Amino acid sequence: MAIELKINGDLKEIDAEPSTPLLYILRQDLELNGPRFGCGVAQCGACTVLVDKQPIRACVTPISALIGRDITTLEGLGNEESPHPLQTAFIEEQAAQCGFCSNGMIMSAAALLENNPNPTDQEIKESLNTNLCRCGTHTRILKAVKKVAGSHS
Amino acid sequence: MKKDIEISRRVFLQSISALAIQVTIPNLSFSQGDLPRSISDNPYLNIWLKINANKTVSLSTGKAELGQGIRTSLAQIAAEELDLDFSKIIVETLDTDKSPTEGRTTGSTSIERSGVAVRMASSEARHILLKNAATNLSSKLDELSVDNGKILINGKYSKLTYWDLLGNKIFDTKISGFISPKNPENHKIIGTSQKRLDIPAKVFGGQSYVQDIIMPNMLHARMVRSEIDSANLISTQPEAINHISGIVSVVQDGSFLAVVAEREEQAVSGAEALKNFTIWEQFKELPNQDRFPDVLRELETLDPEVIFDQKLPSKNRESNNIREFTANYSRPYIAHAALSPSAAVALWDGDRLTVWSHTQGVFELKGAISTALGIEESKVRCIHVEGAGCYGHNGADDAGLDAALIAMKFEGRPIKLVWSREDEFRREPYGSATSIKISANLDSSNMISNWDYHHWTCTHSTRPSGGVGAANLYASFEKNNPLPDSARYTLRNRFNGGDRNAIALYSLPQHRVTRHLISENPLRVSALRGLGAHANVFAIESFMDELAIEANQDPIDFRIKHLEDYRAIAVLEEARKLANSKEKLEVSDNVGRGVGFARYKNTSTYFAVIVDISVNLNSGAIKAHRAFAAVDPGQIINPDGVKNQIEGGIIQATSWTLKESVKFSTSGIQSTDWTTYPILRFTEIPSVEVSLINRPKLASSGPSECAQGPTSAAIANAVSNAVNVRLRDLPLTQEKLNLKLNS
Repeated sequence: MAIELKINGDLKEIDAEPSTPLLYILRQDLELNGPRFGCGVAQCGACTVLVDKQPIRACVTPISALIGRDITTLEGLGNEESPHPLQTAFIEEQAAQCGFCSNGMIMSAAALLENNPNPTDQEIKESLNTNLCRCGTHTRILKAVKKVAGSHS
Repeated sequence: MKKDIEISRRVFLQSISALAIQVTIPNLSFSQGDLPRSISDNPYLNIWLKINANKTVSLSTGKAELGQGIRTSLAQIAAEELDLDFSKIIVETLDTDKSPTEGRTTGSTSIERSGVAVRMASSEARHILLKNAATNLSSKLDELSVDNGKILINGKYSKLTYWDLLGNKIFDTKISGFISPKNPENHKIIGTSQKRLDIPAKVFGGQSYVQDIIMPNMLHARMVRSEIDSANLISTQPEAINHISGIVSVVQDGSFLAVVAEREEQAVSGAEALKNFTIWEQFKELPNQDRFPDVLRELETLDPEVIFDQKLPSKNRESNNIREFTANYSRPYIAHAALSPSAAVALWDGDRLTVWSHTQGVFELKGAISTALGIEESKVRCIHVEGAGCYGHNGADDAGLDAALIAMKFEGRPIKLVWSREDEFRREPYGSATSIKISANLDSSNMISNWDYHHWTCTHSTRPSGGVGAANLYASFEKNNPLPDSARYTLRNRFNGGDRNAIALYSLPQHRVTRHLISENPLRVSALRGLGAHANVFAIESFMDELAIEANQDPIDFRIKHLEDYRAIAVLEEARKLANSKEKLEVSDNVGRGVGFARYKNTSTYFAVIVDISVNLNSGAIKAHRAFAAVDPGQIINPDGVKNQIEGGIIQATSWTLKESVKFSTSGIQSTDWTTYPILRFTEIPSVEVSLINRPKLASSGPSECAQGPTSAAIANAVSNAVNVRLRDLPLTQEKLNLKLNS
């Protein structure tokens, strides 16, 4: 059964069960590596994508719930030629070790800054609190997000 | 000018015999037997370096990128010695068919070992290229220098570059080791914070991880493993999942059970469904967790072994042991808990098996898989592709054999296998639980006169390798004809890593360390960041703090009085300076400050940290607010890389200290996800400031594991400082503190 999804601005015809979690479609069918599989139970945030500019967990969201919605992945946020300010800041601040959480951190921070261009440190921390990082790069991620937030003001 | 001097020295070294060099300048010379292991095992220069037609240079190393930035640092060393811009170095994929064998990427030794080898290979390559240039330009070697691969004669650009000098040929020579590397004073790239090579792909969604591999004709597999620990598969009903679309096959081999499907989500659904039709039977119960840590001293051990016994000459030693103190400390099982479950891709083409894995040791995994499958080692190839950070030996290698076992049944079809989050928590080998007892005496001048240290732990390393070490892979004891003498239930070898840092670095007139090696591992365990150093340093540094309090002395002053090593003293002083330069912490709760110190392995990186915490007296909740650290890893290759490792080490160790302990019942592991194994979150992290002590003339040491023990101790010491309550059993939870505050 074909379902039409709008992903990174393009309409994509998806031939899969309506209950299929979005993450598998993004990674397998569209070869978008940005969203990662970390837990499959919406606990770690590695799979975060934006749906109508709000962060959601692609590992548990069925594609049937996303018809007519605007889905943005890390790749849709920016690329090497035209990076999102957060992507630039993550490189400048070297805000990663293994980088497996980077997608979720960047996507969640992008949603935060969209709604609140000048968040406090505490607001940044709270908005990233459901995104886990095991390497302990939190302080760098915080710096990178603040850098972008600061440039808005 | 300096460069010219350097070249003439190289020429000098070349012009005299090796014997003469050994006599005159012993520290610069190597006989073949003296060459570093990485070079003597891989003596041909072309294994390490290739001059590419596209004006780049390829560097091959045996060390794996684990998110620690090693490939960036090694590229810096190559660029430095070759006088190339950093961007000219391409770091090749780690591949058992092509790369130098350098052992596993473990123990913070990559810069110590591979760094030395890359430096030696690169300086030799530069010398060979310059010799060719000298012939080509009819000039003398000492007239030549290099700028980003361009050859200069007496400071003026010639027409030649590196890329004109070898043609399409390779370096056809063995590495002599006689070419002296650059003087550190002339370093331009070493000591600079080059940006990590791997980060751009990670923030733009590039192909970074083994999980990202997609191949034509690929199938997806998921393991079906029991919720019960130590269980045999009794029966299963593969036909029960036939109705799930896309299911290709159920693979069973003894207790090894996997579902193979056309798509990943189909494999996931199939495996979940098949669990309900599969019966397991436990053959060995786990110990009761309520009895930890005490039970660690009741398990069967080898005979106690005194591994260190030192009596310094001192007058009236016995009579000077005025006051005696004893304390017991412990650490629970801690999970690596990588952010991504382990994964692998395997392809059997009918002749050879290729496994793409995030293992820390491609060569060892190749040997282990060959033994486990009973096929010749030459028929197995392992290629390293990153996974999530591992912090030691997690399920990466196991997933490699899992994928391989399945791939052998699907000739020509790549198998991608990803573990479930639950399997990652249940099946990974944890960092070993440890119990420690320390007794010490203070003399009449409040100096430590006697120190008696005992620790009880099982092995800290059950890494796989070819031969008997193949039994260390998880599927090796699940499959039919399981490999004998599984490491899980018997003592595999005498190396255990549990006594890492068990010997205190302090000057102690009487100092004895006794090891009680638990010979049977109740839970599956292996190397976790720091191995035994975490628990040992936690105990030693906690006890030093307790003794400082008894001696009524500042804890840093007390440590320094017991130290002779200037580098040890320097990191403590530096951390103190950094912490004291800050304003006092302004929070309403009880505030405390604690310090921790160690030289990792007593031979590697020096590290000291001061942590400020607060305790909520009503709830017992501990919050780590900020950490100030000083680190001395000898010559620093990439300052920001060192800082990143230290910051991460402190935050991860804070998480271990305040939160982490693998939960289990007698039937199985109960930590199965991030709610049952919580780790530190954004709102809980301390701020971290790191001061680097660079010693360009000293050898480099790895910084990635040095922070773990000192940070745990600093937090415990800060809690004691805040509320005068000593917590000695990790993790330092709110419940434990609350109990003590109310007792």
